[in-house]
Amino acid sequence: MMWLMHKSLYQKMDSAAELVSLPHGPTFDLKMTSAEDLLPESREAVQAVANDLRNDWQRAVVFEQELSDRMPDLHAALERGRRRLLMKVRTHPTSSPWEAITLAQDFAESIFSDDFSPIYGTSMVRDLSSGEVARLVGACPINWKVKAANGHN
Amino acid sequence: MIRIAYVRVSGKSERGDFEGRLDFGPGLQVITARNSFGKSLAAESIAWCLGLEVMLGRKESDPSFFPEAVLEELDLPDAKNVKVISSEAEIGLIRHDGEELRIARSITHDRNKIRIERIVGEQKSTLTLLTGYGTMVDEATGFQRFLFEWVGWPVKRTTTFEGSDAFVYLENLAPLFFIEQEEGWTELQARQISRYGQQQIREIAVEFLLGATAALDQRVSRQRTATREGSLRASARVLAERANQVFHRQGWAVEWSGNGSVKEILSRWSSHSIKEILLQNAEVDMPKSLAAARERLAVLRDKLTHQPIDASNVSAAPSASQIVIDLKQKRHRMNSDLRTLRVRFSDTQHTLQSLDHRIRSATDVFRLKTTGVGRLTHLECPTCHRELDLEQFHLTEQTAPDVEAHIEGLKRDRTLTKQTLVGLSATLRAIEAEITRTDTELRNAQRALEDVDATVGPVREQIVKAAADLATQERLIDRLHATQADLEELQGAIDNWISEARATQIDVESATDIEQRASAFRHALGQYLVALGHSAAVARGVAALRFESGQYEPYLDLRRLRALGSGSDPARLVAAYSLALAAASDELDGLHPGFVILDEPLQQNPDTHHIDLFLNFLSGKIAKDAKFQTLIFTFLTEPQIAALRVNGINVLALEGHLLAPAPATQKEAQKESPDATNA
Amino acid sequence: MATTSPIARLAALLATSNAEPEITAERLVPSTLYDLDYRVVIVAAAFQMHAVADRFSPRPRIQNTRLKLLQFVAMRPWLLPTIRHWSANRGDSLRLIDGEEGLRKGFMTDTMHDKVMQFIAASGALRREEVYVVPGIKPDVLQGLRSVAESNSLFRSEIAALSEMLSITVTNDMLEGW
Repeated sequence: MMWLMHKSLYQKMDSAAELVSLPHGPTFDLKMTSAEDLLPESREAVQAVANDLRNDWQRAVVFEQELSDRMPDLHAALERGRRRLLMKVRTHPTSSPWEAITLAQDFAESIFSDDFSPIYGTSMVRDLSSGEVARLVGACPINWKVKAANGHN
Repeated sequence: MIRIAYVRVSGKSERGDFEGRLDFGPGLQVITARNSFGKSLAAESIAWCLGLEVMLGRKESDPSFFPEAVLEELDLPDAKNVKVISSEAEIGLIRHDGEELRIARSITHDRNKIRIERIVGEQKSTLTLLTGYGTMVDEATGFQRFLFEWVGWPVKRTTTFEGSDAFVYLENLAPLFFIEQEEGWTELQARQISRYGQQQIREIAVEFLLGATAALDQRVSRQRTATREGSLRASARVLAERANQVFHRQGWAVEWSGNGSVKEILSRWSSHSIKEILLQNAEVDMPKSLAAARERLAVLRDKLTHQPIDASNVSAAPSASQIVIDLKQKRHRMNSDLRTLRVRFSDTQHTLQSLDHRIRSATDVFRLKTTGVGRLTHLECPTCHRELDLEQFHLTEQTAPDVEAHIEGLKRDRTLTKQTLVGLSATLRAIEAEITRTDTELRNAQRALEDVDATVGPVREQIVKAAADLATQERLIDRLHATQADLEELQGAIDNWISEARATQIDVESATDIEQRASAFRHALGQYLVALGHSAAVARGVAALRFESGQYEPYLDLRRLRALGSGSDPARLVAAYSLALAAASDELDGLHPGFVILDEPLQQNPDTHHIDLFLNFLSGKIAKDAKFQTLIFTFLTEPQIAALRVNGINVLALEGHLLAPAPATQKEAQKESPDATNA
Repeated sequence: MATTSPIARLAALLATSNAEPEITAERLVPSTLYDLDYRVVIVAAAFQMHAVADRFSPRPRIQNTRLKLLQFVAMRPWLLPTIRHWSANRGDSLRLIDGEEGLRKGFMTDTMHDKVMQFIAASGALRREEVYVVPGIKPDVLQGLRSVAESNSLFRSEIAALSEMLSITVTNDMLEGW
């Protein structure tokens, strides 16, 4: 029942995210456009992912604001968690370049659960994590580029 | 070019006729007399004869600026407070080709009439013209129109701030060559008329006198275009509002924007018709909808008139009732969604506001980091004086690049949030439109239910329901027709707007000679400023003298010249400006009338230094050699008069009052009293 | 069955292309709320504008919790309507709204402020005296920060918020919950 205590916050996060339209921020859009160009057979799938990422990202923006206003210590924890998440994705030993990115959600949930689960519950932490990961893509720390023909850049 | 040959004031008093006359030659003249001896009367009479009382702040034909001596009572040499019965002013003008014009205007009676005598060689012709409102338009009896034609001035129109036409009048030009003593010295074109509401009249007056008529015409054309563009933008907004109201009434979530410049609106409106936009954005196809509605109507008619009625079918009333219930529930759901959405919209706006603040704040922090302003560079322990270690306090200090990256992140968050708002707004509009459609359907369904409820028996119920459905469909078709007519009317109005807008698109302006003329004016101004002893011009030199683009306010370096110099320099600036304009016009064959009147230049600051500077100027080459007529009305002492005359300046000194008994009256008086002394 | 996260789906898609990921850690930076310079300027402005001398203290002083609230709201001016409503309806618990309790909780748990105050106290600019904050042995350290900020048009929203707080009554009940 823990989620009920934060229902108003949860609804607020959803409210801004649910009916979001595509943002026109060039950086995110360019990335998604380039992804579509790289995967012409999977355009729809890329667009669906882009939509979900934008929803999650918007949710993260609202959540951060709420934390900063009501729970500054948790906001500090959020900031610390972001940094740790990015470092983990960057430094995690992987067999393929995309493996760490694939695991980003799991990393985020594990990083944020210590501080946030006791207060918000697991379900909320999952949403928080997807929001933070989406923001990493939206605000540019996570990017992608086309490999050169010889496999180097 | 013209010059003033004389000014004469005359009249009748209880003691007989009186008059006073001053004759002027070409070039520089100084008219001096003690105060109240009539030198200002002379200057004012010139203004009166030219119909310039409006420039002096009076209503048309109001002579109240004249002294009592010509209005009520005057002092004659042998009598004081003699009642004036009538008075009149007269000036003589000589044109460059020798033609003379005498202009007489009564001061006390029939003030709106001006008597003209035209003298060409031995031939004279007279006419009476009217002065005041409308005399520029009146080609037959208008004084201003006549004077413009006689001087050889083009009649130019300009635009008022309200968008209507107005002429360039003599009273708009005169503040540049007639500097009157009360207010004329306070600033450049101090007496410029603003009550006519002409746009950029100061600049237009300068360009007119410089002879830059092509530049003047372009300026007015730009004004007209701007006025028309302003009016077009306003009408575009009205049209857009009309269109959006039609769309909203129909429940179409489409917006027709009337925002932006005329060019932008024109581009947008001419690229798609209303029909195309409705089809594209809301899948509205009126002909198709009408065809479908007519088809349905035919089906309903057939059902009502030809098809058998099933007496056992009792569903008419319940089904009508169910339709109403379903529609009410639908509307209730949508209203609930709308309320929720509005709250969400407000919350998102709140998020956006906080992001805006955070970006501003972070930008200030960035400035703090990069400029060091407001930053504590060094904090130490007050006892041991060792620098405080931030880590010890678990504190951090960000670098400028850090803050910059943070700002960038916030900006992306803001872009996303703005687009969320756009999406919410579109969804809100769509729901509102759907609610409007549902309301219409509900009204029809309720009407049908009322009709069905009022009947008895299943057969009648079915008939009534079928008839109600038919009536609903007919009303729908009527509405579709009306909507189609509205759309066609709207499109017609938009097409008219587009035609009008296209007509206003400015052609590429052809080159004019304004640069050359302005440059000559600026050069002359620099010379006069130095000659008159303007302290800023003398101290800094005039190499950096300039006009702002399209204007004629003089600047020295980056400062307005009127803001520089000593307390007496504004008067010098005014004198220099009016004289320079005459000089430049003369050099360039411009439209300056050819005379400049300076009424009491020394009264502005009567200290010795100021007077000396001015007298030195008069004795200098630039003043003496000017090709235009300069009339200066001022008081000078005997030594000053003598000094000017030694330098070859023509000084006209009035020994007594300008006005004296007329010679005829004097002779009569002498006849009556042989011992009477002449005045 | 758990739904695959969007990032995992994106990674799975891009892994089949010839793109590779790029992590730019420098683009991830904490909020300026955690920058010491910023915090010090705000504390200095809040103290200068709100600390008062009274019959008990010839030197200007301010309650520690009040200063904490002021700097918190100054950095979050969008909370002004909440605090205004709170002040207007204090004592009527039925009319208080959820936001107000959140605001109290927010500023009370702002431990960053506590660390900043420790730092400022260590520099001698201000110090704690029981429940008050008073000028320290080197009060001139912070003096002038506000006027320098104002004359350079920095932190106008924050300073405007502090100005507005001058006209909002904040009671001990609101600050301490008693």
